[in-house]
Amino acid sequence: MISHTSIVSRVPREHSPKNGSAKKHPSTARRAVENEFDLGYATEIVTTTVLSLEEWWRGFFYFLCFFAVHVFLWRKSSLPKSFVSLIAVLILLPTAIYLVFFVSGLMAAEWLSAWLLHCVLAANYIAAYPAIAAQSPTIQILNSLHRHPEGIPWSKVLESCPVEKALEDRIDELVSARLIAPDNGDYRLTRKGYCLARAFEIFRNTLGLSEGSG
Amino acid sequence: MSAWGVIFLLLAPLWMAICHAIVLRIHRFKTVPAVPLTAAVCMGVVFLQWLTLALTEGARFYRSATPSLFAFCLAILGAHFYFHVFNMSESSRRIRLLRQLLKKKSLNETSKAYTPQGMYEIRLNRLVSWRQVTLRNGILYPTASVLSLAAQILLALEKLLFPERFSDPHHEDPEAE
Repeated sequence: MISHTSIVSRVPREHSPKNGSAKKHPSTARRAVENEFDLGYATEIVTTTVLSLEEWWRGFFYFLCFFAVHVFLWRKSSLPKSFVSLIAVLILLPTAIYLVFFVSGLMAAEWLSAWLLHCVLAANYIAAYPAIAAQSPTIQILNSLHRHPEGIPWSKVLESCPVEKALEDRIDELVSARLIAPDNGDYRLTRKGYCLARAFEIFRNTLGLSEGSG
Repeated sequence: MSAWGVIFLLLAPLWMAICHAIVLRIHRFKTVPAVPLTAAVCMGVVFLQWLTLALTEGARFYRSATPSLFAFCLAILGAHFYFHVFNMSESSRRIRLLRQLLKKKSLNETSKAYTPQGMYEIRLNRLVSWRQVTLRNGILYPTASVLSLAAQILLALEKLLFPERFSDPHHEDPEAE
């Protein structure tokens, strides 16, 4: 799919120097100098600059479009608010659309860089999503302090924490995500949970780190 | 940019893991807090990636701003992704619970040992030691910091995605009686 030729250093055909609009520049530039300020010339320069951004930039805008879809679906509760749904909405669906456009010839190979950027942005958002969905205590502390610029006693912050159950909620989430399952009054790892736990164990062992302090 | 250049950029989290593992094995870095050290490693690797591409891709890479910007964007996003995965392994309760079960430890026992106060205390100490909040005479004050900004962004996203949570005033302000 990725050619050995330039992926990012191509200028869109409609804005290439061979294009008529680009050829207009010298004359419009002269006109601008003669008239001191030419609104048409200024607009043309701005438009050309914005539009001549190469294809990979489009990845930002496409990500924003699919992010809007994600927000709409989450607010409407049309989909289960899970990782699978998130991956489907932000990566699988856009990839399928890109593929359809590419196969049908509506999209050039250069757009691969936009798709790449879109996927990397989506992966980053998905990695940050647990901090939004699971109400991170660190984020709660910082936001609580932000609302009280006059300061809060340390003891009061600690007193306020039982509002959230430290582990029960997390255990329930793990059960609903089918990562663990109840077993004789305790819990056991499911196959999916075992793979995830093992992956993190290998990751931390590779780094040579001990138990986290979270 | 060549296909190899793009693959090299996409593998950014792998290069970060390798560099991070090397840095963590250096004795003098053992006392540095894990998260700031990881952030520094990530930034270093982003720069090294750009440098590698500048050397391997030739003048067309660094003479034009676009390939450099694309490379920086992908490398920074790779660093951000790696940082999140590392942070999850370090402080996520769910990952910790899964790892406890992997070690054949009972979750009921873990729940008893894991108190909300202890959990908040660890996080408060961490925030103070990273100078993300100020502690003066037992009072915590907010500080203009990177984490405070991130917390604001995450709160805005939470309001956007989970508006139902904010119908309860206690969610907004846990200190509210």
